[in-house]
Amino acid sequence: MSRNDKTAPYVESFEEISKTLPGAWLADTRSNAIRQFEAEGFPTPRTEAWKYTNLNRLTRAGFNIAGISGVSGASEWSELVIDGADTIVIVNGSYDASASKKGAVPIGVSIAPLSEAIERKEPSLEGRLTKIAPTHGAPLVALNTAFMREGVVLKLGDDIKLEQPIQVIHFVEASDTRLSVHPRTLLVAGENSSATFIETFVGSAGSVYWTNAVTEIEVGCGASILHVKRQAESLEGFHTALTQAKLDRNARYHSVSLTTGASISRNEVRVSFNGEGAEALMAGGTLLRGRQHADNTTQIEHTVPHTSSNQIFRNVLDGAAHSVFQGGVMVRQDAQKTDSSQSNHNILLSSGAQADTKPELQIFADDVKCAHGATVGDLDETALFYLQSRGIPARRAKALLIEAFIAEISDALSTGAVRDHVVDAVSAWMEDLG
Amino acid sequence: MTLLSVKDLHVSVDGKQILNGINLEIGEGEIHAVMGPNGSGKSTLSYVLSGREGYTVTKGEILFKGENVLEMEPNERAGAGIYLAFQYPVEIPGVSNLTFLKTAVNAVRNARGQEELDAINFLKYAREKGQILEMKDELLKRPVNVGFSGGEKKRNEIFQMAMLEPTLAILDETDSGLDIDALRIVSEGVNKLRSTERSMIVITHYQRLLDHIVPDFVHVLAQGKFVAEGGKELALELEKDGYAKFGIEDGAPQAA
Repeated sequence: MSRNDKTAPYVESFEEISKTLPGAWLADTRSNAIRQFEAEGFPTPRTEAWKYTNLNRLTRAGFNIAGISGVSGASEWSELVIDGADTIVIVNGSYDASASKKGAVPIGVSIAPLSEAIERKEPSLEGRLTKIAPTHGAPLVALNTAFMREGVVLKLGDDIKLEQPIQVIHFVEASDTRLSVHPRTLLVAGENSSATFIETFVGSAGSVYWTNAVTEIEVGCGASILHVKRQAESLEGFHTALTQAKLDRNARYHSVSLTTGASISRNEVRVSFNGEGAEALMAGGTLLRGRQHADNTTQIEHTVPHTSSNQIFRNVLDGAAHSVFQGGVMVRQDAQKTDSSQSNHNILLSSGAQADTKPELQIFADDVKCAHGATVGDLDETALFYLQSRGIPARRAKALLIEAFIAEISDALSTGAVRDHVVDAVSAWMEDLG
Repeated sequence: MTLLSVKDLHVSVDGKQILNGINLEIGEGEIHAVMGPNGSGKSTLSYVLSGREGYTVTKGEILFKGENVLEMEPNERAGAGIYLAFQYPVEIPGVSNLTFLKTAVNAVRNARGQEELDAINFLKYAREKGQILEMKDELLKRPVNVGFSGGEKKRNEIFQMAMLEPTLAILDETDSGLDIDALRIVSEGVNKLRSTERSMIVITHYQRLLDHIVPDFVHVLAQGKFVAEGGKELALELEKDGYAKFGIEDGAPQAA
């Protein structure tokens, strides 16, 4: 199949449905984006940024853009709801008002489904929506920009400290047509505000679909955002996502992700620093089995002095699973006193599993600290025997060691319901351990 | 009554023969010292008794309370009452000593048909046993053996032994790397755990430990076989005359 054969169905769909997509004011942006997607095509391993992830299975599968769907009776996502959180539920790419649960939000906070925010042309979208995450060189972002219909816009006013976590659940239900959904999320945190934001991606077991998500985040001066992502898509599903965060002076952005789902997934996080004193942490845990493939790619841009970034990625692979970590750090000439570190450790539970890890550090400033480290290995046989010799059965011993290995990810979360959300997912994965 | 019966045990590691016909009978409440120079097969004996992978029994048998140990997983052996105090205790980052011990104690209690301990009762039990070894509470919260001094690690081994209440404890060079004070605390701990229902195999290179933990029997191991056996006076002979008396070359430095 040529590049055109793969992109053509999406271009055709766009021509058919573009008029039904929200926001006439976005029409040009959308059509520019689809043209860009058409020109660039799907990413292939020929590009360095996609070296280890081949989307052939995804592009061959052929997906239909999800239209507006009715209310779903399915509740497979309900056990992933975080206690005490405000939840926004998006089913097959459409907002499900009846399933969503919003408490009273403080004055200065607005949470709205994307379609409504677009129709109202909310001021917070201006200069942010589709602007924080550029489409150039990112064909999947372009595709999302062309088709984005639903998602969430969360805006925190200055000095707002939001107590309750905000959780967005993206659920795709099994259907005969292979759906692709293109959710778009925008989070704008005003000066000195703080919030915890969780994105949960889940699909009904066995369903084949494609989630292509884009999340844009702006963290204002002195603001603090904890962004948790739980990727628990159907094991037959596909998941590609890009998060782009822009940090102002003294801002703090912590991203914690846990990946257990999807047949092929790509989780790309990009952070750029626009002000001194800002700090970013990216922690990611990936637990895979069977023939699953998961790619975590980061790109941190240190452009101004006195910023810090820390990346912690831990992968556990069973069966013939394949993980990819590409940790990109760019330190521009002006970014003196940058403090950056990254580590990626992988445990292979079977001889058929494979881990690719690639640090990419480009440093143009001369007074910086940049550390990186990566390992790939088996579960420590000596530690396993030590635990067993104390009466602990092999399965439980393995689970203890894996939990400890992955714990560095959840250590980035303080105790409470959000931490449980991640820790429980690790335990659940372990239950099916051979 | 015989607790452990080892008959004509031959063991190889990576195709290399290490043990060449060990015979050992241990009765209830007895303490047996196994002495030998480096490379004589002491650690192999401890690992094959506790079930470590990679140790192939090519001949012979091991019966514990009349049951064939070789068919049991390491955790089943622990449940049955075999405990190995490691020469080099393993560090396990990310797993707290407390979680580890609670999991272990309850696994063993389960195997022995006893009720599991809840969090409160477990803590009470751990404090009680901790006193025997003068364990600081703080060591319980730390990850298993991580950042422990050599002495603290060995003390932790004996503490675990107190917690798991084995009927056969194998102490593999528990004295190595210990200063005089640590040796005293550890061996006093071991002595407090002596009872008529608990037997021990004390593996050591030197006599020093046996001044503190006085054995009923001494076996001298060389090239995978016992070359001399006797009472506690045999250890003193070894101390005086060295292994050379038994025609064994000992490359290891003498104890200070």
